[in-house]
Order: sequence, then structure tokens, then C-alpha cells
Amino acid sequence: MFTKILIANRGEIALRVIRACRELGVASIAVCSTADRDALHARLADERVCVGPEAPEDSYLNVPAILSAALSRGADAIHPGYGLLAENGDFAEACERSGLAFIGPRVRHLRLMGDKPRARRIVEKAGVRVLPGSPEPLADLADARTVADAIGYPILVKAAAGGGGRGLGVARDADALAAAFAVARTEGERAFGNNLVYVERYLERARHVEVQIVADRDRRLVHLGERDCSVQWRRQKLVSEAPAVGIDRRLRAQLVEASALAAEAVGYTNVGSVEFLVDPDGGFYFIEMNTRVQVEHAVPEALTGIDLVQLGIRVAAGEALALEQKQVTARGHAIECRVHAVSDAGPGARATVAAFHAPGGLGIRVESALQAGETVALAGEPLLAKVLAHGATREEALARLRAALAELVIDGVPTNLALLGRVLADPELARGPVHTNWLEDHAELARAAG
Amino acid sequence: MTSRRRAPARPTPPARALLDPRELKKLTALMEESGLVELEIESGGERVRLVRGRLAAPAVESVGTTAAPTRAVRREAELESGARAITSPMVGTFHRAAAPETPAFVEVGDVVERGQVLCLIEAMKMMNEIEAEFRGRVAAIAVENGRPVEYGEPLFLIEPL
Repeated sequence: MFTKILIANRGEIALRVIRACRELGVASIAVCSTADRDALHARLADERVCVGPEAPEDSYLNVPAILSAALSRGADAIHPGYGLLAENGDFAEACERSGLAFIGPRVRHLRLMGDKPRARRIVEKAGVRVLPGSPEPLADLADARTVADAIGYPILVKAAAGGGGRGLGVARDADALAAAFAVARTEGERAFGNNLVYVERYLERARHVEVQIVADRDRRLVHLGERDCSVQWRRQKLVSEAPAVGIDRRLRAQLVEASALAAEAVGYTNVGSVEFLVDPDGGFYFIEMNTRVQVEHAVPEALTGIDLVQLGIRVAAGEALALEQKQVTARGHAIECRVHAVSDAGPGARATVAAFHAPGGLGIRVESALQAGETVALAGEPLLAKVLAHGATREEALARLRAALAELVIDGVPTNLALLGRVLADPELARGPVHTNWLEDHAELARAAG
Repeated sequence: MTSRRRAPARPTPPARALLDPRELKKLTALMEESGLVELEIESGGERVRLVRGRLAAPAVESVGTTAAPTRAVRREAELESGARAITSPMVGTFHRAAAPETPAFVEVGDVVERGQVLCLIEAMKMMNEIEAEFRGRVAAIAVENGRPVEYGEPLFLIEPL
């Protein structure tokens, strides 16, 4: 096991990793920017290192400063959390060159799965269905038109280095393709520094279902079941739940098998999720693999009682999975929602948290690094809290989550709480399942989002 | 942890104890003047960390006593308002000398010229020279040799001349 882990992240996920370190008896180092010296992660870790000025590229994305912090403080591993450097193959490689373990999959897994068209080809070859699309990144718009005409509209144009719902453009007909192409290209360049795009057939009424897996260095693989993340707003997951409503045993077994094939196709190790679109007839298609601990990892944790963050650390330290598939049992139902800031203001907009109260009670889990008095940069609508409810049944979990959200106080910062409240009270959601465009299509609900 | 290389003990003039209220008052005044929010200083075997909070007066926190006196704030370099902090431009390990057996680049009380090397910060196995940004007298060395430093951490207090 490692002796000291540097956490190259901030916010709730940094706290989550600090907690796992403490339980494992491993020391933790938080990194922070000059603006974050009093942030909760910087206060709760065993050590704190300021790595640079506020701009992320100078601090949380400043690879030399982060590596130097780890080396000068005697860390032996780096946990990247999610986002920031988590799926950056160059960073993982730099860690290894510096003699630091990267807590995540191998460099090659990040590179293979991070190149989305390539991941599609690999997974398809392993026997998992993908949506009709372009096998390679497209040279130009004319190339895109040719492929789109061949597979038929609507078409989704996607950034080749994308993921997480960013760098996407929808074209319902040939006239809209140029705009969608430009959107994906620009967003890909801006968010991922890569303007390559590819296209895929767009499914209008599909559900987003993903399977949690974990594999050790000897490629022993265990899955922790599926979760539904179809309630999305601007292509960001708002609500995640498990088990997925209306997925029968046969379909679940197929999804799990496909996930194992996808992971095994690259010899994947550590925690990861395999994402699928499931159409109303039960046909399913691989969309991408997330090669890191996911925002939604608390959902399978609630059902199985397995600590995925600790497991990821153990696997990275070279331990064999002390877990067999038959030992993984899911109990009850879990629903989690993301509470984030909302803002139409410019990139420099900020708000100060006047008051913060996290709900509690039986079956409630809140992951948040928010503190009263803290100033939040609103750009990018940052995640403020994740609230999860676990119950014996879906009805019980939903009731608990509604009650918890009614208790949650975040004063001073504009949030999506009103929207979440309406979503969770909606009879269609209570009946379930819904598809990925349900919320956007739902006029009254969407209005609540402003 | 990085192995700590301590500068050899040098004969030093007697210093007033850091925890002397008069000395503390000077340090807090200096922090106010220079806008420092945190200052860790070692002298006469004492180490004191001062953290300025939201209240007007800084909070004082003693972080322990070092085994032997290694350096002292010289009488003639008594801290005056107007001293400015040289902060670390990077994350790494603080080295007062080019090598363990060579003398430190500067001592408290030394007059340094603009551009003169004050210390090295080791980052990613690279030694980076930190230079004085202005001519002045070294009023305090805020970090112990061999200790890891963070971005923006005060390394030296220098009174401009």
C-alpha cells in the first residue's frame, strides 16, 4: 500500500479521496490554488501545497508544479479524481516517469479509450454493437456529409477527444450539419485541445445506461451493476439511479457482458464505467468508456456497500481484487442528484455562499466541499453537492431524496435546486423510465431551470 | 520525506527571543505592512508561525522548538516596516546553499544586490535560482533549509536599500 497520496483535484471528489486515504491509513496531500487555501480539501488533508495562481492551467492543471509537490513532500502516488487531469495520458505517463503511481488505469488505457473513434472500433471488434458512424475522425464537412447521407439523419457530431457530454452537435437534417460540425469542432478544441470530430447516428428516445466495473492488474474483473443516467440537462447528468428501471435480467446480463468485453478488449485495470445507449426496444450501443472514478460512483457504492475509491487505490497499489462476482450483491434502490451552480453571467462571475446546510437522515449521503462564507466561481456551473438517497424500494429512495432536497440550504449562490425539486416530483419520472431528451422536451420542467 | 540538510551551526550574536512580545509585535507589524498572511520564522531555537486571520490582530501559533540554534535574527537587522517578502515562484524544495558542503548564498544581515542568487528551489530534479528583485538587506530567512515550499510561500524578508 502507498504511504502518502497527493490528490490532484479539488471540491467534493478531493474530500472523497482524503476520506478513503484516512480509512486506509495513508497520508494525504491536497493541492490548491492561491484562491483555494481555505477550501475544505486544503484544510482536511494531512498536508496542503499551494501549486499556483487561481487559473486552473496555472494550478490544478499545472503538471510540473503538481509533480514537484508530490516529490518534495514524499508522496508515492497521485489520485487525479475526475475531470482535470484524470483522463490525461500524458499526465499519467509523467507520473510514472517521476516514480509516482497514477491511481487509475494504465497510460495506454487512457489513450485508447480517450480517442473516442478508436475506442468505438476496438469495442466493436470485441463484439459489442456501436451506432452506425464514421470509423475515423472526419477530414472536413464534405466528408461528414458523405457519411451522414450514408447512415441517415439525425446525426450526432462528436469531438474525437470528447466525453462527458461535451463537444456534441446534433443535426436533424443535412442543412443543420454544418452548424453541428462547427459546434463539435469548436468545443472539442476549447475543452480538449483537439478539433477532430466524428459522427454517429443520433438516437432521440434512448436511455443512458452505464455499467460500473473494476479490474485488477491480473485482469480479474468484477462489475457492480448498471445505473440509469437519462435525466440530463444540456447533456449533463442530473439524476442517476440504480438499478435501472425496466431493465430485465436478460438485458442486464447482456449489458454486463458487453462491458466486460469492452474492458477486456484493452486489458483494462482499475475502476471504470462503460456507457451505453439503450433504445426503447432493448437494443443497446456502446458510446464510450470513462477511465476514472465517476461522479456517480456513490450510486453503486450504496447498493453494494463496496468502497470504489478505496478499491481503486488498492488496485493501483498492485493488490489483487479480494472480491468475487458472487460476493457482490445489490440491495435496495439508490438515486443521486447533482446540485450545481447556475449562471448566465460572464466568465468572471462569482457568488458567496451565505449559508450552507447539508441534509441528513437514514439512507442519505451528501458529498460536498461547500462552506459558508466561501466564494464560488460560477463559470462552468460547478458542482456544489451530490445528494444520494438509498431505500429498500425506488419509491422509498425517491421520497427520501425529495425530503433531503427540501432540507438542503445553499444561500447566496444560484443553483438548480428548483429544477431538481420539480424533476423528482414529476409523475413521469416516478413511473420511469425516461429518455435522455425527456427533461429538455419537458416544457414546464425546463422553465424551472430558467 | 526529503532528507533534511541543515546548515552548519555558526556563531551568532545573541538574539532576542522570538516569543518576546516586543519581537512578536514587530513581526505582526511587518506582516501588516507587507500584506503577508502567513509567516514562519526560526530564531534562537524557536520557531514561530504567524497567521493573519480576518481579525486585525494576527493569531500566533508556536510550532515547536528546534533542537539547536541554527541562525538568528541579527540585532542590526531588526525588522523594520518596509521589508518585502521574496516568495517562491514554484513548488519544490528550498536550498540555502548550492551544495551541502558550500556556504549559504545569503545570511541574515547580508546586503544583497538586485539579481543576486538568494537560494535554490529544487523542482523535478532541476535547481532553480531565486534572485533578489531589488537591492536590500536580508531581514529574515523564513524557511528552514531542505524544507518543501509551496507556490507563493515567503522565503526571505528583505529591507530595500
